[in-house]
Amino acid sequence: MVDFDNDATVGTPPLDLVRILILQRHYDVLEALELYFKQKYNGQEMNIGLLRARMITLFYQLQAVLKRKLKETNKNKKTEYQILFEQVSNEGEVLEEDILSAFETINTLLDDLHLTRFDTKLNIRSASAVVQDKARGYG
Amino acid sequence: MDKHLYKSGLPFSSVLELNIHDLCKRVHKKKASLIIVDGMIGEGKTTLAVEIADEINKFHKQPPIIFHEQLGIGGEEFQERLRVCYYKKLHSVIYDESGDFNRRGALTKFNASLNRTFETYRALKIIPILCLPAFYVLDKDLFYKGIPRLLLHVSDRGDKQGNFSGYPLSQLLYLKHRIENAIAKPIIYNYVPPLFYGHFKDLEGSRSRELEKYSIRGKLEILGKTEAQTSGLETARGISVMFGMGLRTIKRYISELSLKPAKIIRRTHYFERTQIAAIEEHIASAREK
Repeated sequence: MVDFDNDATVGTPPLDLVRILILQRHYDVLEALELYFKQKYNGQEMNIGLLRARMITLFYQLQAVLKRKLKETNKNKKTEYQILFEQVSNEGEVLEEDILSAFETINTLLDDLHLTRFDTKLNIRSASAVVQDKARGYG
Repeated sequence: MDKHLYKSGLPFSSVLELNIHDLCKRVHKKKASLIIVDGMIGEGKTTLAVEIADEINKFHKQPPIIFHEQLGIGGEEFQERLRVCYYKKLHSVIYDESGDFNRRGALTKFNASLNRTFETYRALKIIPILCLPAFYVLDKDLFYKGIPRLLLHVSDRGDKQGNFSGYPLSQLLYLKHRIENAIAKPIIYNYVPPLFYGHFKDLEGSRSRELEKYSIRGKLEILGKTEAQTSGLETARGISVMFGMGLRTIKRYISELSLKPAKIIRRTHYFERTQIAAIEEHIASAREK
């Protein structure tokens, strides 16, 4: 978690701080999901409130990016952003599927932005020395 | 089934064929491509190099190589062969016993001329194949320029076949770095994983014998040259450097004194110390006049 009381934070570039904040919010949602499904599969009374609250936080953390990136429209002429907004911050009852669908959209975006992508190691399936060298910048 | 070929009809694993063809395509784009075959003595470096050269010829729809056209033993012969290959439109040349092109002699005229050769040969669309016991003795300039494109390390030759592991340039640089800092150098080949492994078979009977004969001839010549140098014999070029005079002048003095060379190795005349002393006297008397 970013500690704003720490002097070291002052010297850290804002970009790095925001990245950590986003990852923290992402982790919080995962934690809430775990709790929700634990209740569900234990046959306990389920409370979607925490999961919903954390999704809203993540949504607002990323709002500007989402607005910029999710511009594609569906047949009802609604943008992906508008659909996501409705899924997350609907005043009425929010369904589990809506939350999961919204989380999927955000996960895909975070992966596209290389924020949660970790499988970046170069793996070229070729036994050709020329192909291997070219992929590593020795063209 | 032919015992000198695998099921694929090749004398080596098909993964090597893929690599050779890729290098041939590369060289046609006028990019430098050099293959290094390294390994301990007697592991079959020259055999594999000949098989590779044959495959390059096959790619260009040419017959298998003729040793006295495409196989050079030592740097001087290699440069001659390179020229022959260019005029005969052949696309590969083998530089066997290429240990003479090493970084210890980095400042010698010979190394400089070979370096220049490797810088410029790409225009000829020829793939040189270097055979030497340890690739890391080669001049570092060669690696910085990205000229070697494939290293084939030959090891553990058995009765029926030899084995090789292939490294592209990107891995070759890691290997070189690690080997240079190691005490037990050959073991480093086990630490850097190669891109591919493969096997190769011996050449067909008569060709194998021909290669052996050719190779021994070359090795004897190298021995002869070394012997000449250690026994104090000197060439006309060496004498010209010794006295700081032109080669043509020294040759004129040799003919004026009617000196017969003490030894002739590959058309090169070697003179002994007494003859060199006679030339020195002749130079002194010429200066007095």
